[in-house]
Amino acid sequence: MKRRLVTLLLCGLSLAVQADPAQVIRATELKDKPFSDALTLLPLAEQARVEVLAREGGWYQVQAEGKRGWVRMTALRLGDGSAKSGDSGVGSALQFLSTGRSGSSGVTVATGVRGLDAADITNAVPNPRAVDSLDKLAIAPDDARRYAAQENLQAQSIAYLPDAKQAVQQKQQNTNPFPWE
Amino acid sequence: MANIHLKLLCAAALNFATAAVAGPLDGLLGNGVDLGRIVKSAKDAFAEVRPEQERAIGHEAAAVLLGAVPLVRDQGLQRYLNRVGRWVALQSERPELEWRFGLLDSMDVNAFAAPGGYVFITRGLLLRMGSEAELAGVLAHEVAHVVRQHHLQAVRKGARIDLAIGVAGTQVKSGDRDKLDKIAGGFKELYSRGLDKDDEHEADRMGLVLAARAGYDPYGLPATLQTLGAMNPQDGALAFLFKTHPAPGQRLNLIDAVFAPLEAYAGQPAVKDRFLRELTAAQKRGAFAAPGVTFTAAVSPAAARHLHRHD
Repeated sequence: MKRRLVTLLLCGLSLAVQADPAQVIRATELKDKPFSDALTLLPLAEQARVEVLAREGGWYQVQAEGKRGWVRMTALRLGDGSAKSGDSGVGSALQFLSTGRSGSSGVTVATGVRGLDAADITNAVPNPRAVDSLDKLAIAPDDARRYAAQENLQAQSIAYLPDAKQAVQQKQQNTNPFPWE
Repeated sequence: MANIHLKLLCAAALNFATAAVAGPLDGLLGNGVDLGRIVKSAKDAFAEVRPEQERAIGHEAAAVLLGAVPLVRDQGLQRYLNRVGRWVALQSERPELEWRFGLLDSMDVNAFAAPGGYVFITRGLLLRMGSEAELAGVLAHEVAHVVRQHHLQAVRKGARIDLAIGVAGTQVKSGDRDKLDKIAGGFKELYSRGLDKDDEHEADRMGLVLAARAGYDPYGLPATLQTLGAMNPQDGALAFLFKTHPAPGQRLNLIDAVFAPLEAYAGQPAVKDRFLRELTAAQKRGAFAAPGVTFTAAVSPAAARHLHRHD
């Protein structure tokens, strides 16, 4: 019975595109395509609310002011930036079914599924045999390389990034929030 | 020497640990005990830790984690994790380590590393991802902790000075329960408290690069952090992660500030299909059979959509 309900709701997903609320954290532009030189559809002000539909690399496809376009991931934070959520329908119904948590009120309903915490670690009796059991799952480098090649993953030579704090200081002297654009 | 003196000494050593870095503490502190020498031996303890010793320490640290949370009983999924993880680790400065990756059977959202090449991620975190690039990004963050020896460094910094003394320059053998208990105790405290925030930020920066070196879309780790940032912070599944890590929003801000050189790799594959195939196949095998777990839009939006399309 419950399973049928879940199936029904899952079917609903294909009809209603699932959208996650997000907030613009710095002024940006809604682009026609996920490229910085694509046509600008709209300017988006800081704190504007948008609905995220999909991600493509560093871009989110969003719905904003009735228009559908692309925004840099770095200009958005998922979530609507407030305690209340306008989310309704399939997403929150499913959320409640699966976790017992209501997305719209933020109220957490006891589910009996408890998280891991510091006490679990502190009270743990070390289990070295479980660690040894990992050995038979180990992957040889050549196996890993073959598996990567199946998806055309190609190794690159890239230097590590500098310390973020230094970069923030440098960035403060630079008014463009996206200096690489 | 009386035990109580050693304890006092450790407390004093804690207070002076920072000073010890700035200048040598070579004075004698009562009872003829040379504080400077003990601090030095603790500092040196892991500076020249031998690989087999690092491995033995890491093995016990991993045993603590697996004592708290069991592994998911699904070899196929564990192998998948190891294939992705090993490929990422091969791009690091320590490709030769015997890397072991384990999926923890908890809906809590978290990931851990232990010295010597052990990396763990909970299924609660795995199920909230939408692509292999996200998985690679999170595993790469943990690989970075191992490569930079952040856990051993945390011990060296003096917080776990008695642990350092316990294992300094000595062989750790599996039968040596006394030493292993000391190590286990130290890592219980370290995992409960978490690493320094700066170590987490460094692991983020390195993780981005390791995933990009492995040929993945470098936005995987940021995408996972976005997802975590959007979850209800009151959610019990996040409590431990949030206690031991900087807030996702802050991590993203620091990532944004340095991301520019990786923009050139944004077109690399995210590998969504294989990731979702592996997850849904494991789901059908019953790998996630546990109270309250079904693939839904809330638990795993990507897997729920994939399951629907392919059912």
